[in-house]
Amino acid sequence: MSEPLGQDEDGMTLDIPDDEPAVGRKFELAELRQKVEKVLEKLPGSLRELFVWRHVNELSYEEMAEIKGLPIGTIKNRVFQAKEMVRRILEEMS
Amino acid sequence: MSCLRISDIYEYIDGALSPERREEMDRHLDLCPKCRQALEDRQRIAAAASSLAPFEAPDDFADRVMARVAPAKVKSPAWLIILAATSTMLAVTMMALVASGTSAVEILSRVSHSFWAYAKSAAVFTAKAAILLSLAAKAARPLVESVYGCLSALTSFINPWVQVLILMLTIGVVVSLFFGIKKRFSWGG
Repeated sequence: MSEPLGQDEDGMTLDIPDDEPAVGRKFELAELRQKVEKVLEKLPGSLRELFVWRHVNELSYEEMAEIKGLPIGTIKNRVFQAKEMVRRILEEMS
Repeated sequence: MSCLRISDIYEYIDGALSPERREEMDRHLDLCPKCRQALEDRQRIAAAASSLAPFEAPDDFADRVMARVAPAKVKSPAWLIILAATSTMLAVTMMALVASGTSAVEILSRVSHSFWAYAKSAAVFTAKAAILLSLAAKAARPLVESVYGCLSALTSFINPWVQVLILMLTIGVVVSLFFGIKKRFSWGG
């Protein structure tokens, strides 16, 4: 969790590591869903909120930016961080 | 083409890329197992997340969203709008008359003439409306009398306590209907 994501200043240019494990394929979809639900509890509140808005409530970046009163770029960046953090925690769990 | 960035992969999943860029990425994905795996992995996680049951929103969520998206408009009272419109019309008329070289006495005379003309029209309209209302009352009188007769006949053989009970039930139904409709259409905020 505390490990940095290794992203650039803008947090959007992370390269795919050569030895990245396929976390998603390790589980059946139902099991993966349960794991994602547990992982969401470990995310910081602000990132969890944006992740849920994006994936569960299917809000657009524009809508989220409007609600939060933040620039779209900032929202995209945070959603990106949230997605990668979910993936990173899943990797640790597996 | 070099390997994809993770941000590219998310944009690919979001469908946010131009057709040219998507085609270029498709070509790379055909050739690069590492990028293909990274894409499929994130697609599966996104699919799992999308199938989660919607989280229960906090009580004030809708208010917060609406406050952000559509700031409440301050409503001006109707009388203020009417007063403003009348004052504006009056001012424009006065300016037009002054500009046309009409004297102040003439303007006042015209204004008072117009006022009395409107007052006369309003009086005639009110009188006509009163006549119509009295005619409607005359026409409805037999109906009201027959309803009253029916009610009198009913109350003559229904126990007074049963009458009170029926009255209470009717009031209850009307009040429930009112609040049900109010809730359904969210009147009064």
